[in-house]
Amino acid sequence: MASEEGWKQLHPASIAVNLVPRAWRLLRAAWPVFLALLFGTRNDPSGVLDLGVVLLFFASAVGSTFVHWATLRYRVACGRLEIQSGLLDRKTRVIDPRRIQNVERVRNVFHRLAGLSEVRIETASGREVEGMLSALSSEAAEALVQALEVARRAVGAAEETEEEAERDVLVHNSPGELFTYGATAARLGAGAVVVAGVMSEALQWVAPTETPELSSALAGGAAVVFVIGVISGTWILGTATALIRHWGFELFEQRGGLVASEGLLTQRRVELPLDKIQLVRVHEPLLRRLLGFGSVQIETAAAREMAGGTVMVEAMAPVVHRDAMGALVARTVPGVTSYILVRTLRPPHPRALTAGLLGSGARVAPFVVAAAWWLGPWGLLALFAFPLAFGAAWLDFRFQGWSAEGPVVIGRQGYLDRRTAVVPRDKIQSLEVRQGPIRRWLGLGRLVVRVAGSRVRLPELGWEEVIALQERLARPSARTPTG
Amino acid sequence: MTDWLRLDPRARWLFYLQATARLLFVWLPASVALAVGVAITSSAVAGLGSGAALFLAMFLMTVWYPSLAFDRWSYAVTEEGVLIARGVVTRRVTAIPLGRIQHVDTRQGVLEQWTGLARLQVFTASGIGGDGVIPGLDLAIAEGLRDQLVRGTGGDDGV
Repeated sequence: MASEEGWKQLHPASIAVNLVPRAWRLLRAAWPVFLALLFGTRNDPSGVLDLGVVLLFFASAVGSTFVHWATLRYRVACGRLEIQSGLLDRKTRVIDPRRIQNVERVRNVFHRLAGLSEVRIETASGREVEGMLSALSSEAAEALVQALEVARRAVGAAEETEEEAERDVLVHNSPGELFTYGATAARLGAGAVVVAGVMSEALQWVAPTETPELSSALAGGAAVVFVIGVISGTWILGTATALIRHWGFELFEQRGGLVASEGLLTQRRVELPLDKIQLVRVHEPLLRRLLGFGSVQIETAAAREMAGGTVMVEAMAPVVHRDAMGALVARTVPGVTSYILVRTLRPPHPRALTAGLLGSGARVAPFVVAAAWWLGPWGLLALFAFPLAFGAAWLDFRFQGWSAEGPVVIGRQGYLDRRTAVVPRDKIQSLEVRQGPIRRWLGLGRLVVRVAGSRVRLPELGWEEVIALQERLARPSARTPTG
Repeated sequence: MTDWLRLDPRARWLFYLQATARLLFVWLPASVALAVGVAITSSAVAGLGSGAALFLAMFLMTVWYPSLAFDRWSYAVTEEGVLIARGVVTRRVTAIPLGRIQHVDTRQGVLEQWTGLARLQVFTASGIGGDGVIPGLDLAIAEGLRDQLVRGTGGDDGV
């Protein structure tokens, strides 16, 4: 295990391992400059200026990577994790192991070539990785994780027995299961976007005189082949991505916490202390339900800013068979039984159907108007979207449910894309009831249950009922039931 | 029975001042930009019409909205937590248990300083940057409430 005293450093190979990601981050931050270099007007035929900018960029990347390696130190001392970093702006961060939400070990291709691991340690305090150790040897990474676990439990390492370190595998996904998972992911939307984008670009590049020829070629069946090709390509790509990302997925219980490991090219290992779990989501789209499986996502309070938005840190079991789902949820949420997902849920208020029908009609109407505008009489075929949307709204209403009995709050929504959320009551942070104009007219309200880093919407209930439920769940005695 | 409290009466005028400031510094330039944009791409009449329509709509909103917002805003502090009700178009009632409060801020912008009012922001670990906001409180009341809520925190924060 890691020494209780004495600072440790990143592995020297971290300079090589971190160079590419750091250069990429720098490139992303300075993309306008490089765009200007590539496509800008050339006032300098010799290219000296361009070369200078590229060299400056390269030197910055190498310099920052070296400084990062040279200045970063960490240790587990006095039962806490300390990380020092920075040259001009020195920073020392101290993390109480009890506040750690999860520890993630990531090994991308470069890490694996160098025999290293990246360790990400997260608390609930912000939207960044609070402890980022970008390149440790696998032994050092394992030692650090164990030292943190020992510090968290406040017991000596000697007390840890082999029995405690044994794995209790909860979920293991074979390549065949992962293929089914990837193949059943709906990607028609992505395919449609690609098709629309390519068509739009093609029309811009084609000369106006050639447009009639292009139109006749498209009308001749080439467009159908093209669309089928793009959608098939998107499907194959999506399936391959799922296989690569979740390859060898395993979720097991070890040392009183959950550990998820997966990945073919980038290996990812997330450790989640059981008492930090905020929310469990069960995702069962129709096709996967018919095949007898769904996905289970386990979330902690840690959330981080990534390019494109905030992502939750969680473990997601891609394929969990229906008969094993309840048992898995029972292992992740203390105090519930394996029958948790088959218990009879309470229905939404009957007038929620009216709200659902109005909402789906309002969502479809702009699409129908746009289709009629662009396609003329043929666009009126889009009117068939109304009965489809109303049917989907009715099915959604029919299969919604909620429960606030026992130690958890459960909310279920969706028929085509069914999602069930299980929230331990003692993790509730705040509760908000919402009532827009339509719901006010119908006398309905919707309760939003917030936990650290996430939220769950319950189905629509009558106003008095939803206010009473909010009041009941906000009481401390209700949040820590014994049942 | 929950004892709901109203905002300070000066808050009505604070809301009007804030709405007027938004009208002058946000919506007036936006209306002018819209008018110029439409005039360039279409015609001067269409530009003038669209700009004037946007400004008129926002002017009516400035006259109508603040008073309603003031009427709909109320709060209650119980032994168990804070309740905040607000919303003109969408009504919202937020309940924050005392034990879940991470920290409480009082804030005063320029107009709030001028009117002697303050805004109370209650934060939990839910990570949405302020679960509950109560604007338009007398500064002394806001500070007293802040201290009272912070004293009530502690124990298991559910994280």
